[in-house]
Amino acid sequence: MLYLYVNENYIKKPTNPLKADGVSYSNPTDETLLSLGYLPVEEFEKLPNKEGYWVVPKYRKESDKIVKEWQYVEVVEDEFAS
Amino acid sequence: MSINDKFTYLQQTKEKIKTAIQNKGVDVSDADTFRSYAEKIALIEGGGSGGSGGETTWAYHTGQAVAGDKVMLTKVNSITTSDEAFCNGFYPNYIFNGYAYGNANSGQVNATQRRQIVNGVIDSSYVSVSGTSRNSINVPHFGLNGTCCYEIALNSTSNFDVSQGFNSGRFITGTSVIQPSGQGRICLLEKYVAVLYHGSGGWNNLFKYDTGSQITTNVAGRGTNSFAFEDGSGKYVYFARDFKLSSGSYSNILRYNVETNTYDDLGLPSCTINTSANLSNYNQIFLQTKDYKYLLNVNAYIDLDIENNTYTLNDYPPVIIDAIGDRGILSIQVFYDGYFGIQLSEGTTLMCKYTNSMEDVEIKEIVEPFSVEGDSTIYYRHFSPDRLYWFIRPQYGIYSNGATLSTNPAGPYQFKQATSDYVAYTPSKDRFNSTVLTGFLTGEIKEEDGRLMVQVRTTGIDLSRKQDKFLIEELLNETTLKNNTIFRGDEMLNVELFVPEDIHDDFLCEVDFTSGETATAFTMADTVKWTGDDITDNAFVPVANKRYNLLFWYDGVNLNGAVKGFE
Repeated sequence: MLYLYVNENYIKKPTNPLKADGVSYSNPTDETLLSLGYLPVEEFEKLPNKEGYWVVPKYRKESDKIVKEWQYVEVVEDEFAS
Repeated sequence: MSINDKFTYLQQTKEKIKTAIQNKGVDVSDADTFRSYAEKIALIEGGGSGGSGGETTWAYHTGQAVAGDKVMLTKVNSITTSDEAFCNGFYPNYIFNGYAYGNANSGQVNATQRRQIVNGVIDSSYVSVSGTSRNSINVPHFGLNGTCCYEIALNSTSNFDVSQGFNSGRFITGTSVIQPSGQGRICLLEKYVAVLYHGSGGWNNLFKYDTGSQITTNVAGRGTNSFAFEDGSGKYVYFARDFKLSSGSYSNILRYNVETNTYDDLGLPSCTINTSANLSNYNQIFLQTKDYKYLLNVNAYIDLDIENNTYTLNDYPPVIIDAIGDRGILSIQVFYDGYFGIQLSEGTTLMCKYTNSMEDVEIKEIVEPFSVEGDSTIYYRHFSPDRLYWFIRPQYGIYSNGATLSTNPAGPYQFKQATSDYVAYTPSKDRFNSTVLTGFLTGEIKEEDGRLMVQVRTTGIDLSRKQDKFLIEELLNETTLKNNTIFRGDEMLNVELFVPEDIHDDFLCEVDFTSGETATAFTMADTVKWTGDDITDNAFVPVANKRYNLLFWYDGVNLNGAVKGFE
């Protein structure tokens, strides 16, 4: 599966049909998707859970792939929670 | 007036009287006294009346006449068939060309015709003194006579402006009476009139007439020549020698310098001339371009570049638009392997265009439209089965605005496609109402390689549309839609369709293919408005294992696509 890198927090799966630059692509091939900037994703092993932290993905775009890494994000208490 | 002036005046008077007596057939020498002239005048009155029984007496004038002179035959008696008399007079206001010859039976002196030049304009009217036989342009007694002048004047009513027209160039074809049974090629140059004339051996001689000195110069025969034209410089006349393509006797191109009265033999063109069966005995080259630089089109589809002295064979038969001079005869020549004929109908508007430069091949915009008023303004001549030759007068330029063009009926005028690339077409039997060729001259004329032409291929498409007959072409992975075309494919992994840039209201196109085990990847501009099967988010998304028929049409606003899928 190929994805489009959006930002470090989000990658996008292609739609079908896929519309880009005034062109509609139905059943797009990988070749087509690559030409449109879609890339394969290389995923690292997920980090183990840790108390007080979320384990969230972080994306990094390289020339020929998207690297999916994991990171700990501290859980902040919701001050509005009841 | 002084005594000397009076004496001079008297001497001039004596000279004139002497000339008048001489013209009456009585010898007068310089030694004869003025008083003796009276006796000589008496001789005229006593011995010359009617000329019966007397010897033949000629007034012979070779030109160089001055204003006020008259040229005439004074007596004609007992003329034999071998006797000839010439009368060539060039006056400020007249050109005479009389060619009289004797007839043993009748003693008749034949025609003397007159062309009047008034302020540089040759009036095509003439006075025929008597008879018509053998009035001709005949080396070296050259003048402008009957039909020749008619040709120069282009038609019976137009005038030819001598003072301005010589350097604009004319190429005149068709029958003239340069020789009684021959034809002439006449080139009007800056200063000269050059005539390639048809003698007993064909186009075998060239001569020039100097409009300044009024002297005609003959040039020895140069073989059988089939055409002549001048190059716009006012200096050269080009023509081909022994130009017989069909017989395989190729032509050298000759350049005749009217100033030096010499030939340059440009030699045989470097490439091989097509001598296929399409060629006939009428292989002629016609002057094509307004700037006189190129010779174009023989009916072997050859372009002749006279600068480089090379031929170029065309891949397909062109329609040649021939514009000669600003008042010349326009000819449209349609060349095909087979037969073709169209006829412009009454009301057809012709637009004047012409090539201006062969370097950048600029096609001028419409200069002046004019309408064809009835078929009578169009002349066509059928030289050979594979060629029609129109003369459209009185203007140069060409182009139809899409008014009705009509096919000629079956027979030698019927349309026959040239190659397998073209779509077969059966011409309409309705000679005057068919519009199948509307598109023929309505925008398909273009320049290419320095020529104006119509591509037959385009015509074929137009014809097919008019017949509501689709062309069937193979669907490729990348295909641009075309009007009146069915693109047909089998199982396709990828199909990318492109919309043509120039799309018209009558656009209609079909695409057929099969989406196999792997659904076809389909790509197309998202401006298409889709309906039918397997449409998602206004896009056609083929599914696996289906046969699809896609129909595209333009409704004036949108390009629409309809899909029908079959399991």
